[in-house]
Amino acid sequence: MWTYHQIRLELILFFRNRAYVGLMLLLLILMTLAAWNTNLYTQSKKEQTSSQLALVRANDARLVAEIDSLNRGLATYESSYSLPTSGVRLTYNNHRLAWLPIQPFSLIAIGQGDLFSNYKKIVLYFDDSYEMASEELVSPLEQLFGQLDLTFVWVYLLPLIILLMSFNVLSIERETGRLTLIASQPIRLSTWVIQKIGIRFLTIYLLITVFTIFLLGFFGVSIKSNLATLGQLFIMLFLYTAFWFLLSFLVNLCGYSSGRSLILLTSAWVFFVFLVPSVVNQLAKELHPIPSRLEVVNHHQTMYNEMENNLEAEMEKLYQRHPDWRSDDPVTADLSNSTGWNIQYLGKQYLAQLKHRAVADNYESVVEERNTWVENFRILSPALIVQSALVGLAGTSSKYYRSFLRQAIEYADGYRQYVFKRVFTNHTFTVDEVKSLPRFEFDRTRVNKTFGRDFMILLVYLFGFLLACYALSKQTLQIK
Amino acid sequence: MRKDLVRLIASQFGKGVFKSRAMLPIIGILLLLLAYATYSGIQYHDQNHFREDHQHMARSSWENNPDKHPHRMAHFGTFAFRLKHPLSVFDFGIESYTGNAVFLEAHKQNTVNFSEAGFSTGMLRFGELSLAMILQLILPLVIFFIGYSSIVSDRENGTLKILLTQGASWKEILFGRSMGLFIIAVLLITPFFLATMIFLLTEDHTVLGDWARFALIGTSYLLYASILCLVTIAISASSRSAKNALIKLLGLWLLMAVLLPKVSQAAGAYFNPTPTKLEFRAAIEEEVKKYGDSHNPNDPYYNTLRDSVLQVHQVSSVSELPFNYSGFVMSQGEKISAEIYNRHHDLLMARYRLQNLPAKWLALINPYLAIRNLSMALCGTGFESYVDFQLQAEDYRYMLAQKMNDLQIKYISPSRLSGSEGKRDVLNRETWKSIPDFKHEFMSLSTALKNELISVISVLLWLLLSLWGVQYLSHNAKAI
Repeated sequence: MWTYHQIRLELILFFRNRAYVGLMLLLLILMTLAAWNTNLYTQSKKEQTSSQLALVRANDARLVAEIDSLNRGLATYESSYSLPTSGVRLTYNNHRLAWLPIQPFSLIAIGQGDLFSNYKKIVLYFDDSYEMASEELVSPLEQLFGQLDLTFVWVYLLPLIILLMSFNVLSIERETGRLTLIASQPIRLSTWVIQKIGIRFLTIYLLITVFTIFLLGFFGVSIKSNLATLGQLFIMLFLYTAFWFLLSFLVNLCGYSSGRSLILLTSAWVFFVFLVPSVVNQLAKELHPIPSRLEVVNHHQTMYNEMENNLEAEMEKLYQRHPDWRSDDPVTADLSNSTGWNIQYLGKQYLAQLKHRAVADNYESVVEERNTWVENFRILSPALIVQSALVGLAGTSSKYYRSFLRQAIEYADGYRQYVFKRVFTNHTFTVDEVKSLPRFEFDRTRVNKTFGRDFMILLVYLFGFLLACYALSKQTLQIK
Repeated sequence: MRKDLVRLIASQFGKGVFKSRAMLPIIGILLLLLAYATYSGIQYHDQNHFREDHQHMARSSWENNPDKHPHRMAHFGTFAFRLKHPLSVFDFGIESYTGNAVFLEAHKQNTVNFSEAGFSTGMLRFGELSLAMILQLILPLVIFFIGYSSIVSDRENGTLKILLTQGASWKEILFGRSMGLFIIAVLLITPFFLATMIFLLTEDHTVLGDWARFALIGTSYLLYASILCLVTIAISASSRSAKNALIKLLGLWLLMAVLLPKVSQAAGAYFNPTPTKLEFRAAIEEEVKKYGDSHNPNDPYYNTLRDSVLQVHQVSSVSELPFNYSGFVMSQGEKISAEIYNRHHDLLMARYRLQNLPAKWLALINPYLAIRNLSMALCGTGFESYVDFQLQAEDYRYMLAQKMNDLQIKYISPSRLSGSEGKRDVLNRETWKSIPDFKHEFMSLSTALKNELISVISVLLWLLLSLWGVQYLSHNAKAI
C-alpha cells in the first residue's frame, strides 16, 4: 500500500532533482510565451474585425446622412452614380461584413487563424468566382515554421518534457544497483514504480492545469462562464499527458538501458508527432486529389462568356425567375445611364453565378470529402486528436473557418435577394431601409463537435497501454 | 596526428555500429522514409504537368476568343502559373503555403492563389515529409542516437583509459570517431541523393544549372552532417555519462530544430506586423481614388486630363481626336494603378523580409536554419523564388493590359466614347495570337546563393567552430 511517508519521500526526491525543476520551469516559460503570442494575435484579429465593422457603420452613417440631406433639399446630385438613394451607390460604396467572432478560448490555439481572415467583405457584385476563399496576407515562411501557441507547447513539447522526466524511472535504479536494495524493503516493486510515475504525472498535470487557469485569467478569459470548455480542455490534457506517461512506463517495463529507452521514446515522439500527421496528410492528397480551383475559375469565366453572348434571352430568363425584379422604368434599360448599366452588370454576374454554382458546390464537396477522410485517420496519432480537439475548443480550426465561409455565402445570397429586388426596379432607398439592411450572425452550433469521439479514442489508447503495462509488469517487475 | 590510426579508429567505430542490432531498425526506418518521401516528391513534382496543361489551356482559351473589343479581352484575362523547379522533388520548401497561379486582368492585381494550405486541415502544420525534411530533422536524431555514447561509454567502462595508454592521442580518438560517424552519415545520406539524381536524369526539363544546384545541395548536406558528427562527438567527450550526453543532444535538437525557428519567426511577425488583405487593398484603392475615378463622369482629374488632350490636339470633343480616347484614359489609369500597386506590394514584401530577418540572422547560430534556408533557395522553393514569380506575373499582366489599351487606342473608332459591349468595334481574333504567352523563369543560381549568403557563411563557420571544439577537447578532455 502507498503510504504518506513514501509519497512524501518521492516528492522530496523529485523536487530536489534540478533537471526536473528546470524542465518544469522551461514548460512554464514556454506556456507564458505562447499565451502572450496568441493573445497578441487574437487582440490584433479583434481590432481588425472592429475596424472593419466601424468602417461599414461609418459608410452607412454617411449614406444615411446624405439621404437625409437630399430629402431636406440641402444637397443635389448630378448623376445616379453618386446619388445616395440609388442602387448604384449602395452597390459600390456600402458593403456588408460577415464576421467570425473570436471564441473565448482562442487563447489556447492560433490554429488556422493565421491563414484565414475572421471577416469577409460582402458586396452586391460577385468579385470572386471562388467564394470559399478567404486567405489572409501572411508570410509563407511564417506559415511554414508555424505559430507559437499553447497547443504547440502541449502537443509538441509537453511529451518531450514528460519523456525526459520518466524515461529512466526504472532503468536507472537497475543500472545503479538500487533496485535490489529497494526490493529488500517492505514495498511491492510494482507499487513503488507506479508511485514514481504517478507522482510525476500528477505534478506535471497539476502544474499545467493550474498555470493554464492563471494564464486564462491573466489574459482576461472568463473562466466562470466557460466552465464546460475548461472542463473539456482539462480532460484532453489529462488523457494526453497520461498517454505519454503510460508509453514511458511501458518502455521502462521492457527492461532496456536508460539510453535505449530514451532513443525508443524519442522515436515514438517523432513517429506520433511528425511522421503520422505528415504521412496521413500526404496520403489524403494522393487518395483524394482536389481538382484544380483553376477549373472552377475557368468554368465561371466560360459561363459568363456564354451568358454574355446570349444576353437578351438570358436577362429574360432572369426576369421570369424573379418577376418582381422587372421594371417599366426606362432608366433601368438605358445602358448609357449608370443605373441601367449597373442593373445589366449585376444581372450578368448573378446569372453567371447561378450557372456556375453547381461546379463550385461540387468542388466544395470534394474538399469536404478529403477533410472527412483526414478526420477519420486522426485516430492514428493521439497528437493529431488532441491538436484537432484543442483548435476546435479555440474556435480556430478549419471546420470553424469553413463553416463561417459557408454561412457568409448564405448571408450574401440572402442580402443580394433583398437588395436586388430594389436595385433592379430603380427603387429609391430610404434612411430606414439602409438602417435595416440584413445583418450577419455566425451560428456556432453549425460547427460539428467531435469531443465525444476524441475522448473515446484517447480512452481506447490508454486502455490498450494499461493492458500492455499490466501484462509486461507481470513479467518484468522482478529482480534480475 | 597519425592518419593510419585515425582511419583505424574510424573503421573500428563503423564496424561496431553495424554489428549493433540497434542499427538495423534505424536503417530500415530511414529506408522506408526515403522510399515514401521519394514517392511523395515525384507525385508532388508531377503537378508540373498539371500546371503546364493548365497554362496551355489558359493560352488556348485566350487564343480561341472570337473577334472582340480589346478591352473585353483585357478583362477576359489569362493565368500565370508558377512552375515547380525540378529540385522541388527534394525540398518542398514553402510551396504548400504559396499559391501557384494568379489570374491576370486589367486594372486589378490579383494575389497568387490556390495554395494547398488554403483548403487543407491543420494537419499540414505538422510538416511535410520530403527528402530534405528527413535529412534536416531526422538525420540529426539518427546521428545523435548512433554517436552519443561513442566517447563517454568508453570512459564509463574504462576502455578509453586503455586506448590512451596504448598510445592513441585524444586528438586521434576524437577525430577518428568523428570520421567513423561521418562515414555512417554519408552512407545514410547517399540513397537520398541517388534518388534525387535518378529523378533529375529522368526529368525532361533538367538543365546544366540544375546539376550545379544538385552538387551544391549535396555539398551543403555533407557539411551539415559533418557538423552534426563533430558536435555529437564533442558532447559525448565532454559529458559525465551517456545518458547526460543524449539528453544534451536532444535538448540541442529541440532548441535548434523546433523552438528557435518558431520563436524567431514569431518575433519577426511581432515587430513587423503585416496589414490584412482588406487593409492592403483598401490602401491601394484609396490612393488610386486620390488620383481620380475614371468611371465618374465628373471626376476632376480625368476632366483636366481630357481638357489638356483636347487642347494639344486642338479639337473640341474626344470623338474628334485621331485616336480612341477611352483607350487612352484606361492606359493612363493602368499606369497609375500599377505604380501604386507595385509600391504597396514592394512595401509588403519588404515587411515579409523584415519578418524573416530574425530567422535569417539566427542561421548564424543555428545550422538547422542555415541548411533549411539554403536548401529551399537552391531547390527554387524559397521565399525569394516566390517573390520573383509574383514580379514576373505582374510584369506580364501590365504588358498585357497596356497592349490591349494600345490596340484600343489605335484600332477602335475615336467616336466610340465608352463601353466595349456588343459586336461593334471588334478586332480580328488573330490579334490575340500575336500576344506572347507567359513563361515562368526560375531565379538564377547566383541570385539564389547571393540571397542566402548568411546561410552559406553559417554552415562554413559552424564547420570551423565544431572542428575547433573537437581540437580544443583533445587538449582538455578527461579520461576518467
